[in-house]
Amino acid sequence: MDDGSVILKTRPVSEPVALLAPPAPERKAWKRQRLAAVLSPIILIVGWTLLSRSGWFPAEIVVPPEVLWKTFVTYWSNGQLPDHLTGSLGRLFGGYLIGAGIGIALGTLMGVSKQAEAYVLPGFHIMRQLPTVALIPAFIMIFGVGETVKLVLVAKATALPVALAAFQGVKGIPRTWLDVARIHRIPALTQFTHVIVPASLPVLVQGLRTALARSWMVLVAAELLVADSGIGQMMEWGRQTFRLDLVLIGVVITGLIGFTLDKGFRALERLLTRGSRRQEA
Amino acid sequence: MAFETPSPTAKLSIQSLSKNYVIDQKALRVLLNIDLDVHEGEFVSIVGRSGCGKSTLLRLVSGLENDYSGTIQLDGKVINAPSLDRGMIFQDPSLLPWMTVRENVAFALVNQNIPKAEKDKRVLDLIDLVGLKGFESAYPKELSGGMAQRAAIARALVSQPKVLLLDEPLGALDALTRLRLQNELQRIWLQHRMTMIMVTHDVEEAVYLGDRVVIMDPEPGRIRRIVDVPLPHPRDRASPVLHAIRDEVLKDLTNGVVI
Repeated sequence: MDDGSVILKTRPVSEPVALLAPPAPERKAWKRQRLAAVLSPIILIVGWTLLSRSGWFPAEIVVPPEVLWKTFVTYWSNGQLPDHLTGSLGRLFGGYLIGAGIGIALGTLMGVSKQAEAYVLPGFHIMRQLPTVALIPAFIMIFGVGETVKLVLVAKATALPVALAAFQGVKGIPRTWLDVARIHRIPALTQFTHVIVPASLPVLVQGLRTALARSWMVLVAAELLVADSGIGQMMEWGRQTFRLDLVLIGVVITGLIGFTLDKGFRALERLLTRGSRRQEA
Repeated sequence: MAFETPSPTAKLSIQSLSKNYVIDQKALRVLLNIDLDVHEGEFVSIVGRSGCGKSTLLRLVSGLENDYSGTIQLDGKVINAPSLDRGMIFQDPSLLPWMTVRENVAFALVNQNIPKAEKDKRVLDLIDLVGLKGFESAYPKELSGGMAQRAAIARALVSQPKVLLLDEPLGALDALTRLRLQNELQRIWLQHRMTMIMVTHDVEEAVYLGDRVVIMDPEPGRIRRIVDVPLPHPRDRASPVLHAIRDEVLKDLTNGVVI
C-alpha cells in the first residue's frame, strides 16, 4: 500500500485538463483563419459586383448580386422556394433514415458474423465502385418517376457508406476488449450494448456524416432528372427558361444546405460525445 | 485490508497438450506435448522466445481458445470455455475507455449473482488494494500506463478467480513502474495466495516472482526446462541466489541463439 500512494502523488489527475487550453500562438493562428473565412466570401461578392457593373458581360450571364437577391426574396415570399426546400429536405431525411437503418443493421451483422461478412461484403465492394447517379436510369425504370425512386436513391447512397462504417467500427474493436468480456462471462446482449456499440460508435458516426453529405448531392442530382419539386428541379426549370438567376440561387442554396448539414451534424456529434470526449486515447 | 477471499486456490493440470493453427490450409504447430502441473497457490513464470506459443498456452488455459488436443484440467474439471474461476490480464490494460475505473472494475461482476451493495464494496476494496483510491471516477485516458494496469489487475481480481493468468502484464511499462508493479503483484499474491501463471519476456521478472520458471522453445512450442526458484517471498532483488538463477535461465534461453 505504501509505495502505491507515492506513485499517485507524482501524477495529479488535473494534468490532462491543463492540456486542453491551446497555447497563445495557436490561438493567434486560429484567429487569422477565422478572419480569412469571413473575408473570402466578401472578396468574392465584391469582385462579382464589380464584374457585373463593368458591362463586359450581359446581365443574363453575370447576374448582378442585387438581382439575385431580388429573385430570392420574390421566390421565398411567394412560397415557391420554401416548397422546393421542404420537398428536398423531406426526401433527404426520409431516405437517409431508411438507408442509415439498413446500413447500421447490415454493417453490424457483418462485423459480428463471419458468415454474414462472407455473403454480403463482396457485393458491397462491387457496389461501392458504382456511383449512385449511374443507377438513376435503372431505378427510374424500376421505380418510376415518383417519390419512391428518390427515396430509394437516397437510401442507397446512405446505406452503403453507413454499412461499411458500422462494419469497420465493429471490426476495429481491440480483440482484448472482447476477450475481457468473455473472460468475465458477460452475456451476449450486454456485450453488444456495453462493448460493441460504444466501441464502434466513433467510426459509425463518421460514416453517418459522410453519408449525409453524399446523399444530399445524389438527391439534388436526381431531382435534376426526375422531380416536380425540389431544389434540383428548380434549377432545371431555371435552365429551361434561361433564368440563370434562379439556377444560381439553387446552386448557392444547395451548397449552403450541404454546409449546414455537415456543421449541424458535427455539433450534434460533439453534443452527444461530450460526456465521453476524454475517452479518445 | 477489507478485501477477503476464502483462500481461492486450485490445482491446474496440463497433459500432453498440443495445438495447431491452420493457416492457408497448412497446419502450423503452435504447442507440442506440453505437460505441466501447477500447484495450489503457486506462482509460475513462463519465458521463451517469440513464437514459442506461451501466450497461446495462457489463452487455452483461460478458455478463450478451446481447440486443442490433450487435457487441461482445473481441480479435475476439463477446461473448454472461459469461467469466472480464471481471471486474465493482458499486456494492454484493455480498460473500456468510456467507463470510469470504478465502472471498469464493476463490469467484471455483471454476470455475478451478488447483491449490489456487496458488489460496490468489493469494487471499492479492490481499487483500494491496487492503490488507486481517489481515482474511482477517473477515465482510463487520465491514467498513466502503470495506473491503468493496476485498474486492470483490480478488474481481474474482483470476481475472485482461483487462477490468475498474466500475459506479459508489465511488458509495456517503463522500467521503474515495472519494478513497482512487480512488488505490487508479489504483495497481492502473498496476501491472497491464489495461483498465478505469468508469461513474460523479462527473465529477471520471471525469476523474481516465480516459484518455478518454465522455459519454452519455439517452433513448435514446447517446454525445454523448468527451473525451481527455492527462495521465500517476499524476495530480495539483490540476493546472489536469485542472480545466479537468473543468469542460468538467461543462458539456457539464449543457448545456441545468436543475439
